[in-house]
Amino acid sequence: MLKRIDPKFHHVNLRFTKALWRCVVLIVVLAASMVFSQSKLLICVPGKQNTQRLQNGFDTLLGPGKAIVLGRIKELQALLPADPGAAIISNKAFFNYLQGYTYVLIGKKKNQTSERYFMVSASKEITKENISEKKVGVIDFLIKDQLPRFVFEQFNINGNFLKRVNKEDDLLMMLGMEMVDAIIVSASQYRDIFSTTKLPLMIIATSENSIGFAACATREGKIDDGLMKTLLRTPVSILKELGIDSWEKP
Amino acid sequence: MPAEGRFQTVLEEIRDQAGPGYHFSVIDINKNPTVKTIADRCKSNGAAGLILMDIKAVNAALELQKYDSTFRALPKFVFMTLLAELSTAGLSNKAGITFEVPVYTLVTTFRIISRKEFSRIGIFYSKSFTRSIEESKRLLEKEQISIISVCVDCNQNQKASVDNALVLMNDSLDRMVAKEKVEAFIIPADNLIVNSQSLVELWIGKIKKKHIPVIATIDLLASPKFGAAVFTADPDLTQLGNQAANLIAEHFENKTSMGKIGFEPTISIKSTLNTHVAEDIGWKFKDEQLGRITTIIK
Repeated sequence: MLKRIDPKFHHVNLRFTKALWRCVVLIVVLAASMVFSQSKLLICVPGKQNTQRLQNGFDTLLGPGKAIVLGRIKELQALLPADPGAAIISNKAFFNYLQGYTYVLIGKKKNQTSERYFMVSASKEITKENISEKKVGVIDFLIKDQLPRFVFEQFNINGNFLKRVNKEDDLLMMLGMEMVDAIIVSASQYRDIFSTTKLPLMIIATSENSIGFAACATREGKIDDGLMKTLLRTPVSILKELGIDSWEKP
Repeated sequence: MPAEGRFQTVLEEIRDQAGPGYHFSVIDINKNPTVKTIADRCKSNGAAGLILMDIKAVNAALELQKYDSTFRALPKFVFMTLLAELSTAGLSNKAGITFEVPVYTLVTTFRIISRKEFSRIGIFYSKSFTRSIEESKRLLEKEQISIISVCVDCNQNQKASVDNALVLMNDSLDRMVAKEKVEAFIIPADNLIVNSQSLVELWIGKIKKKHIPVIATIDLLASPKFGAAVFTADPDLTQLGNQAANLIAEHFENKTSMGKIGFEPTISIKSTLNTHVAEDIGWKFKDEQLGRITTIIK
C-alpha cells in the first residue's frame, strides 16, 4: 500500500525524520563508544625498550585513551582488579599463570605460534651442570613468584639466583659486564643479541617447551567485535614491536 | 638522601619493587641533621639497614659509625654516588651500585646503532678513574674493541689542573688519531676532562672538526646548546631503583652477605642521539636499531 503524505506536512515530516535519524545515529555512536570504552585494551610486553612508541601506535590504531601500554608486568597486575573486563595483550607465558582468561587472538611469527627459550652464556666455563649456583639474567616478564617457577619448569634450575631487568638491551649489558653468568632469552631475542655483539655466545640449555609469542586474552574469551576487527588490522610496525608478524583467531 | 626529584624517583621505585615487607623512613641530608639526630632516628625506627644516596649521605654514615660503633654492623646500600667505591672507603658492611654509566655500555650501544664498524676508542681520564678504565679495557676486549687511554693527572711531577690537563690532551690528540687510529672519543663525567675551556678548544674546536664522533656520559653534551657529543647516556633512574631494590632483596631475602654483593655497575641507561652533530661529522646510523634510543634530537 502506498500512502501519500499531505504536501503541507511534507517539509515538517522531513525535518522530523532528519532529526530522528540524527538522534538514532547519535545513540548508536554513543552506545558503540560506551561498549568500546568498556573494552579497554591493556598491553604489556616486558622487555621492549620503547613503550612510548607502542603507546603512540595503539593510540593511532584505536584512538586516544582506548589502550594503555605498560612497561612492566607488575603494573599490569596492579591494573587488572580495577578493570576485569579489559582485553590484555601480553606474552603467552603470562596467561599460563593467570586464571580465568581465554585467548581471543594468538600472535604468529614466520607461521609459528611459539618458540624455544635459551640459556646463553659467554664463557666456556659456564655449563648446564654448574649453572644452578650461578647468577642468571632474565627479563621480568612474569609476576614475582612465577618467574623462578617458570625457570625451574623450563630449565630445571633453582630460580633463586635470577637477576631481573625490564629491557632486552640490559640482558646483553649484564652478560658483557660479567654481572651474570648466563641470560635467558627467546630464540628471537637470541638472534637479535647475536647480531649486535662479538661476545662468544653459547647456548647452554634449551627450554623444555616452546613458549608462545604475544597473545590477546579476555575473561571468558569475550571481546567487543569492533576491537577484534581493529586488532586484526594492526599495522606491521606495531606487530613488530609486539614481536609478531600477524594475529590469528584461536 | 637529598629530597630532590631524581633521588625521589629512585626511592619510589625501590619502595614499589621492595613491596610492603619493607618500611622506608627518609632523612633529608640537605637539612644538615646532626649525627645524634640521625642516630636517634635510626634507633627509634629500628633500622635494619641504611640506604645512602649522594656523597653527603655517605659522609653522614661515616660520622655515624664514629659516633656509635654499633652502626658499623648495619648494612649500608650506596646509590647515586659518583665514584662510589672510592667515596665509601672506611664505610663498613657496604654494597651498592656505581652511578657512572659504564664505558662498556656507552661504547657497545653506540656500536650497535652505528653503520660504521669501529674498534678503537680514545679516552682521557684522571687517576681516580684508573680502576674503572682498566676494567672497561678488559671487558671491551671481548667485544673486540680497544681503549686507547691517556691519564691527564698521573704524572707525579705536574700539578693536576684544568690547564695542565688541556695541554696534555691537546698534545696527545694527533698521536692518538694518526698513530693509534682512534675512531671515536669518550668524554667521561670528570671536570678535569670536560669544562668550558676544553669544550670550546678541544672537543668542539678540534675533535669535532676532525669529524671524529664523541660519545659521553653527560647528557647535556648532546643537547642542541652544546652539540659536542653525537651520543650520550645517563642512568635510567627508574630502572636504577629497580636494580637497587633487587640488591636489597638479595641481602635480606637471599641472605647474601654485603661483602659478596659488593658494588655493581649501573645496568640501564637512557640515551640521546643528536642527528645534527651526526650530520656535521658525517656519521650514519642503522635505522632499524634506533628504536633503542630514548631521545633523538632532530
